[in-house]
Amino acid sequence: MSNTIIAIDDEPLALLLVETYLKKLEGWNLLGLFSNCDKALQFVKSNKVDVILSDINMPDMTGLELVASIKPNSSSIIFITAHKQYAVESYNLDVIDYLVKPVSFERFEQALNKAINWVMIRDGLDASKQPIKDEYLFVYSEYQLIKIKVEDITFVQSMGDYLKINIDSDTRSVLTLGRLKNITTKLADKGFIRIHRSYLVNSKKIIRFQKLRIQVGEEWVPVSKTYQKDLENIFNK
Amino acid sequence: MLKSQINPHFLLNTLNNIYTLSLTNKSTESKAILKLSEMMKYILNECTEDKVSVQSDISFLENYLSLQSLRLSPNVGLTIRLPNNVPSDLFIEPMVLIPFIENPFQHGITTAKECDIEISITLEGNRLNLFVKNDILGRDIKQTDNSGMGLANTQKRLEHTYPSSHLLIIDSTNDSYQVNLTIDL
Repeated sequence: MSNTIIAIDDEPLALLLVETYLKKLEGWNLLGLFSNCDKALQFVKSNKVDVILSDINMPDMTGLELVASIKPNSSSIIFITAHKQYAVESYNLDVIDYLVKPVSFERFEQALNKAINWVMIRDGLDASKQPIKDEYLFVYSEYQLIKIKVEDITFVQSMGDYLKINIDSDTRSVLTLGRLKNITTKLADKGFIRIHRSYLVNSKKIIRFQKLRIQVGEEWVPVSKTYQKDLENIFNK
Repeated sequence: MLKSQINPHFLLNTLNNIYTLSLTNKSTESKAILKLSEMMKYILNECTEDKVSVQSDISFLENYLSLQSLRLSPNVGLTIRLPNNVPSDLFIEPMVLIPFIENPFQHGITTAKECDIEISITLEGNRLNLFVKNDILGRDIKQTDNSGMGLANTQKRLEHTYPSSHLLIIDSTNDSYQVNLTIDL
């Protein structure tokens, strides 16, 4: 799965830098480098472009004008400019990131990772929207679609916009985009229960529990008072 | 002090370009660094004098143009004519030519169509002629720089230093902007 991207800048060296950086990253399909805004706009109208990297100060049209004329929510926008003064205005346009030249590779990568998340949400690829097929859950993580057997999941931890899915017999966990609330609904009939604002556990994997913590698989997970009763009900069944 | 300085945006843009060159190209970034360094040397060491040699003023402009050309998209045609053998005993007020040369890079560039910038300096005896021509682009873009003020300052400096020995003709037709400056040094 690769994301499509174009870059717009009136200066050839700025485009060369973007091209060089993109070659170092995986999962990107660079569709075009444009020095002219009109040509870029025409291209965007007839092609699916996930991410647009654009300069702001250009001779014929500013990047702000360019973005304003693109269909909202069709592409994720990242500005790359030598000027800081447009940052506030760019918020009105829902841009994903604002990079000030000179742009280091690390900062560039950070911006593109934000854009990937945006694209995944746009395309409904976050974990809570993936179907469960034959007891398997499919989630996107690090540009790959990963197949997880639902009964192997020990617990799911919420970490900001991400979910950390811990799997029994696997020391690695899978980090994917999604909300705990949504995945809770989805896994409710598979024996998963909320025990904390940030934790969803597989009740079949619970080994023991103390007053405010339980052991699932190898790990101890906190239980909050709000959910304590739900948990006791399950054990007293 | 009306002496104009090098535009800080130029400095920042050039450093950004050198950064890109250093990541992508093996040989050209050292040349670009050298050119920028020579320009800084000129500003720090020579501009403090009342007069500089025409030789070093022209090599300053040459470095400037070479660094600016890094920024140009392929549709911009840049024609430069500079004199080759400049006598070493000719002197000029520093930094009076550069504002006229900066101007087309700020106002005469488009990416929408072919456009041309023409810059020529000729010497006849002690008479220096600068000719700059660029296309006037029919557009309404807010200019954020203060080059208009830079040109006005330069005109004041010319009147002060060469009160009766310079002639400046700025000719703005429908589609082109031309500067013709003659100075008797």
